[in-house]
Amino acid sequence: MSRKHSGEGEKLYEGNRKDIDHTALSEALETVDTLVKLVSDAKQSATNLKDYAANASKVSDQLSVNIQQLATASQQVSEGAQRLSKIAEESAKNMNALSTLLNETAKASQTVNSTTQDVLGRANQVVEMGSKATDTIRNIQEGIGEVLKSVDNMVSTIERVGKLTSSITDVAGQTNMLALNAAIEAARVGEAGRGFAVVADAVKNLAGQARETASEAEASISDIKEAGSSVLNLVQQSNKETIDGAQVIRVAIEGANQIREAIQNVAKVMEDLNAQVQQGMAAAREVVKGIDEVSSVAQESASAAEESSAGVEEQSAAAEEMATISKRIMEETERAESRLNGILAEAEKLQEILRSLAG
Amino acid sequence: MTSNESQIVLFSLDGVLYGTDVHQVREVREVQDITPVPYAPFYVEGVTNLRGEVIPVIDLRKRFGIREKDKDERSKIMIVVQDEDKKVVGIIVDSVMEVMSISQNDTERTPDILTTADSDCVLGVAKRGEDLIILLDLQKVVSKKGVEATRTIEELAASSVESTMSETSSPEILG
Repeated sequence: MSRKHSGEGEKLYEGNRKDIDHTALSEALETVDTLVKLVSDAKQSATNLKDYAANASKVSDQLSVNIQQLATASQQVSEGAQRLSKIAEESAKNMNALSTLLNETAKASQTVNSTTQDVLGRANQVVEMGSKATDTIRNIQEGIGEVLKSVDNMVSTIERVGKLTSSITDVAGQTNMLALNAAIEAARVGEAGRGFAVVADAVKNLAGQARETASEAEASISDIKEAGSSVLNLVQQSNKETIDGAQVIRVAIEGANQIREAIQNVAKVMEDLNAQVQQGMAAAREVVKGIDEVSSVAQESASAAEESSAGVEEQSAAAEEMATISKRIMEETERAESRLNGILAEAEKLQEILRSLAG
Repeated sequence: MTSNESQIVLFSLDGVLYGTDVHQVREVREVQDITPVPYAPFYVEGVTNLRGEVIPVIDLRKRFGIREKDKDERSKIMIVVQDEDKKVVGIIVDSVMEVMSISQNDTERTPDILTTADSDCVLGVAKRGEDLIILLDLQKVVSKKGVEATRTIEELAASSVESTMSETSSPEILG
């Protein structure tokens, strides 16, 4: 093509070759050379610029991609922070529930504690009353022993009295016999024994009264003996019952002591539990504090992530714009390049013409 | 004491009251040790020592054919005087109550129908309030004649061995 141009140029400038000043020609040639050189340089620059623009476009694209990734990451951070915030909130709720439970446990353990104190007091009372009852029973048993002794004495005394009454009865019988024999004697004597018979009769009556009195005494004695043996039975029954009672009380005291021991164990356990609950409550408070911190940090990071997300979006737009500009620069540069090529071809054609002219 | 009244010693045997004239009784004793005598009549308990005097003792229950009974503190020996030779015999009775007067008006003779030829030891029946007292002639009860008379009744119930023994030995004891 350039050849065609140059051929045409030769034909064009052939006719009036003699009219052209050699000096001007050489100057023109020089200028054209410079022009060609400049255009070449410009073309080179355009090519370079195109490369740069292409690179810039590439870099912009990469930047855009990176920014997109950054945006995604930032979004993820934000979401994560929000989730963390939610989890922290949930945890805080759970911790609150735990705290409530611990509080209730503490309250319950206090109730248990007061109850155990109550039971302990009662067990102590049982033991105290039981030992008092034991003392009382001992007194009763001593009293019963005294009663037994007294009744024994009474019975032996009464037996002695019984012997006395039987000897009275004996004497009364003998007296009665004497009186009877005296009456017989008196009767056999006849009228002379009449006074004596009266005396004998009186003696007989006295003897009868003595015997009657003695037999009444005997009846009374046997009543007393019966009463005595009833008393003995009752007292022995009482004794047996007090022994049973003492046994019952002993069992009760034993039971109360066992209760006391058990309650003391419970109190100890409750004390441990209480201490642990207190520790748990302190730990829960710490946890809540930690969770609060986590929550606020999460919120902060969420808002920061949102902010950065906004920034990233802005950046993304800038990057995109930059990419567009880069592309336009490239296009323009390409266009410039092709124009420069055209200019260069014309310049070279001009150069050839000029050389042939000068030639 | 008038002629219309008499003194009797009142005693009991198997719930029945008996009376005997006070002159037939010398005294009343507690039942003391009695020594059994071989070959004595069945109603003879034995002999006993009364202040140095050895006297025979008969059991009136056995003598009357009433069932025997253990002696107790109420049982007594009545010492009965025998008229002929002033010898005494002891008679064991259930109890001796007292010496009392009875009026002839309160006494009835034994109805003939109750007596046999030889059983005239029952003199009659006396009343004391609601109670009846059988009046006995104790001398006849313990006499050989009385013994013979009652034996005929007893022979109906008692064994012939005892009867034979009493026939041979009683005269010595009672005589």
